[in-house]
Amino acid sequence: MSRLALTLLFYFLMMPTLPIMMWVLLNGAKPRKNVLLGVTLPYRARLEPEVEVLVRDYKRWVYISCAVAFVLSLGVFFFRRFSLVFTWLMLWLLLAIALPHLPYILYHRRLRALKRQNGWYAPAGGDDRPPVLLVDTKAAAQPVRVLGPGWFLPPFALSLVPVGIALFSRPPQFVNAVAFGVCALLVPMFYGLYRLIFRQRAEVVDEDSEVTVTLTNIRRRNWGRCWLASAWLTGVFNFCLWFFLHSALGFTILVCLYSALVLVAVMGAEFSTRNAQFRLTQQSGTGLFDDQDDYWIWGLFYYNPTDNHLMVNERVGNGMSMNLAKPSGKVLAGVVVALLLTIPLMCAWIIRDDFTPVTLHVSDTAIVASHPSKTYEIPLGEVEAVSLVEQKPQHVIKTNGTGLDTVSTGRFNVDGEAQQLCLNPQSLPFLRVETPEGVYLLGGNTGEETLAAYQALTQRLAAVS
Amino acid sequence: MVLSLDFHSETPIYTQIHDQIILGIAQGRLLPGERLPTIRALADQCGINMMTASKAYQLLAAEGHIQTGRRSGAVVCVPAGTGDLTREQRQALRLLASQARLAGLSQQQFLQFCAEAYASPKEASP
Repeated sequence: MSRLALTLLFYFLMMPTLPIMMWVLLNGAKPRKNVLLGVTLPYRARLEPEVEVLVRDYKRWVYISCAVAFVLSLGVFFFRRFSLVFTWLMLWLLLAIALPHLPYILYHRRLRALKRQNGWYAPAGGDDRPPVLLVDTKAAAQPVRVLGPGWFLPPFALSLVPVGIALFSRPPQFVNAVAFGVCALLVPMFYGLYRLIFRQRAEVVDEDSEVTVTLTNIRRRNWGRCWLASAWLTGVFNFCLWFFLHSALGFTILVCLYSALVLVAVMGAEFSTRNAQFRLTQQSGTGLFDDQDDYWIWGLFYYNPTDNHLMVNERVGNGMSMNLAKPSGKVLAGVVVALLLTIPLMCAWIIRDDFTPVTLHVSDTAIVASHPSKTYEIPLGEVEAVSLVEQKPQHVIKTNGTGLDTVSTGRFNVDGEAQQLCLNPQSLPFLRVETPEGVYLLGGNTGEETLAAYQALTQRLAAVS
Repeated sequence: MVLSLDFHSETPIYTQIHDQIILGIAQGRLLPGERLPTIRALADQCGINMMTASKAYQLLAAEGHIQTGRRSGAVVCVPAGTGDLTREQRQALRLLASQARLAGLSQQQFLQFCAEAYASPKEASP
């Protein structure tokens, strides 16, 4: 695949993040369950001109921040090296999520200040009073219909088929088995997520039990469908992936198709729930209503020491949030932050690999092909045959290792033969070394370096024999 | 009916649940035969320990306000009026009357408050 094609592929895989963020944040400017920009307001307050002006300004800043993020995304096309393309896109992804949230946080704080100033609290609430929790007994007493694990077993079984094939093939393909196994584990994870919603609170908005029961059932149904669909898609995807392991195009198409379908399932469920929450709560906020603002930092992060739930429903939509007041919530949040921090670290690592040349030299006792990602030291006594490969192999598929523009290290399938590589794929010729352990394809950063190593190696081998 | 639970109050949560369910029954917001959540469901909804939810239901069941089943949750009972207050209720009323006297209320004022609290279900508030 050409560099431009690869860049375009990655670009279009990442780009949906921005319109999704924009839609989610603009959607937060529509009152649902009495919540507007993460602030609970009574009905009368939502009609105030100051609130309407604030919402209009907020929307404008969301558009501006998304436009800035879009313009920055185009910077990826100025880079030629894959490591720089990848780094730009990864950092852009973090920016595309964070940047549009800045106006959200700013206008959330302004609306909360307005609420405080005007005393727009629920009847049981107040500036100096902590929120009370509303529990609807009728909604809580509703019988819960939960799909059994049997609905998730077929996709799980399907996703395990390639694991079994990889393990029992000759020779066993442990790396593939682990990769397929990790993907297969998503299915029980989806089942766990499916079950989680039925332990969550009912969608109490106000005293109207019918609205509470309806919203709760809608959320559970949409959430359930989303995870059931994701489980089946994952099972089919993992099964089909086996057939496209050696086809880069097929693999790419399959991954894009799977990602798109899972996204459709998730976003479809989100649309449906948000629409219902908007429709059914338009007139809410005139009597007793739920107001948990004090437990939501910036309207985004849940912090409630009196709640023993670790995961709670997001205030609008389908999602869930961690309770950061719980020790396990803090640990999980720490893990998430650590994972996010690995992104720039990973990018630095890839850049280091891409910009550090491979070296090839022959010592008195061994051939040494070296790169930060991999070093091969082959004792001269183990060399059975040496030759130069003057033409680039037609089919080179990475099994395990590093494959960048100027570095290929690790285990590859080269024209149907398993080989261990440490070379610059752009600098011919390559040095083919056959040993009892297998075939190595080595090279220096330049063709001259490889030729010099070849000559030194043939002299050493002649001297030994 | 909607329970309002204040986790920062000095009143224990099980007492708040107990008191609000009694008020709900008295005010007609909970009707005889109406199903209440199971202990587990109530604990999940409130974000509390199952023991706390269980304690509230045990008190209500002991006073005859609800009937609990192992799997069916709880059901509001038809009020079995004895026509008299229990010893604990009389003591609580005596204490309340003493507090009203110390607050400077006249007997008439206190009786007026009692009449309002005993008023029809739609007019009284928790």
